[in-house]
Amino acid sequence: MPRPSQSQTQQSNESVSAASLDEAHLITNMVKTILNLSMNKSVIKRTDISSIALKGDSRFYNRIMPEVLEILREVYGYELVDVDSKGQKTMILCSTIDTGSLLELNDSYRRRYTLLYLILGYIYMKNGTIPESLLWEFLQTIGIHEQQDHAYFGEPKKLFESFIKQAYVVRFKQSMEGMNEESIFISWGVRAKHEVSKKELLEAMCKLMNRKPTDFKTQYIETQALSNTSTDEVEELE
Amino acid sequence: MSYTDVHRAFLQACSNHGTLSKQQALDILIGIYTRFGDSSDVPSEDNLVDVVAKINERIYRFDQKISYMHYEPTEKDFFVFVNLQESPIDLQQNFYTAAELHYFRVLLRELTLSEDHTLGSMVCLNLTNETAGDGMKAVTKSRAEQLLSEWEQLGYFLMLEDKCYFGPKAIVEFEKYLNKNYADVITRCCLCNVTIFYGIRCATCPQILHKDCLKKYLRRLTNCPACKKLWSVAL
Repeated sequence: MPRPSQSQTQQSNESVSAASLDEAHLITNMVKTILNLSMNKSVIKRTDISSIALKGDSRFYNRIMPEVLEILREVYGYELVDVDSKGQKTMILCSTIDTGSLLELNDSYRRRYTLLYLILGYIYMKNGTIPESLLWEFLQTIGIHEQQDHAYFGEPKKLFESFIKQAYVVRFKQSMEGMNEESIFISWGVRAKHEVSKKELLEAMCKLMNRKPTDFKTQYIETQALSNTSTDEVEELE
Repeated sequence: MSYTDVHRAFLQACSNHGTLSKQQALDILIGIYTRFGDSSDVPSEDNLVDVVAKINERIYRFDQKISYMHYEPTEKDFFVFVNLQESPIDLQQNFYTAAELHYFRVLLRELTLSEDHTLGSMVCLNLTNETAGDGMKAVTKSRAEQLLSEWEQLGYFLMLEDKCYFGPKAIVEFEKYLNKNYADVITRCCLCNVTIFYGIRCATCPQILHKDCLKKYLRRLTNCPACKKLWSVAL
């Protein structure tokens, strides 16, 4: 059987390496796109990623995604987390590393996160879901008004809306006991569940209120269970 | 030292801050070492340089870099997290409105065109007038104040004694862009050939030079490197 001619072998070799070069290029584009779209921790859409990084050609999406995820995790310490959304596939980029001290944030971030922790802390202490109106009543008792500029925090309403956009807090409708209409409720969003340590939050809230974590039975048990799960996992691996 | 959570945490901190002074960077690295380091060593400046170099090896492929620069107006050193490319991908900023981004470009332009690359703070606010039109709502003066403050935090501008300067991040990120679009107005230090915005001006010719470059030069010679007249300006 005749061997393929030199030029034919060369051609097929070239097309193979061109294909893998193209793929490497697409992977680079996708990583860059995800990083840029997530610059403000916003929720990003799969369709946006496809149209920008793959120029609308979504055939490669599933094929190159595993490597993209690996790069995000290995180089940047980020992971892509799915957000429950009606119809469209949406995600957020979360850090896999403890944020640690507030020193690692610049001044305006520090203020935002302080307000965020107050809000998340309150929701947590109230067992995870509250009517939105109740949150604003609470904030008012510590001098933060929904429609007024705050000296340290800025515009509370605007910041709260941005926390929802960033998936720290999720807002939904639910019917309250004894009421005919639905009310607006809020609870922890996907990003908060991923990035905020309930244990640290409980301890911080307790410091604020001058109580012990064990005073809040439900929350304390939950945080202990969460830390026990991780130690159990470690033991299993060993 | 292999690539660990120390590197990832520091990379995230740089990316979140945008710009870090050398001292800030070291403080942050010390905090990171206590959380993720494997020994009780306190990192030195050399460790800082190593960590940055290792990170840059990895992120270079994505057109990112942690750049180290000396900032003349405050004579301090900074680490700046930059995007190296100006492709459409890098401009996907779904955070600022079109008018606000336009305001940013107007500030860059006016800073470049002004003689000593500074603008009075009132002038900066009045430049919002240029952002109206084409169906875009103009940026309000109060929003402009917020933006200037945000952009200053990120390192794009610096307010010093009521005057606005290019910040470290603007200098590093937009050097190529400004060189390309304002080539006739931008100068280079004739000793190191790097683009220069802020430095020491010769008394007799229009040349500006970096303070450090000039110091080294004047150890051996006493005249202006450009016009050759006797150097008379105090350092």
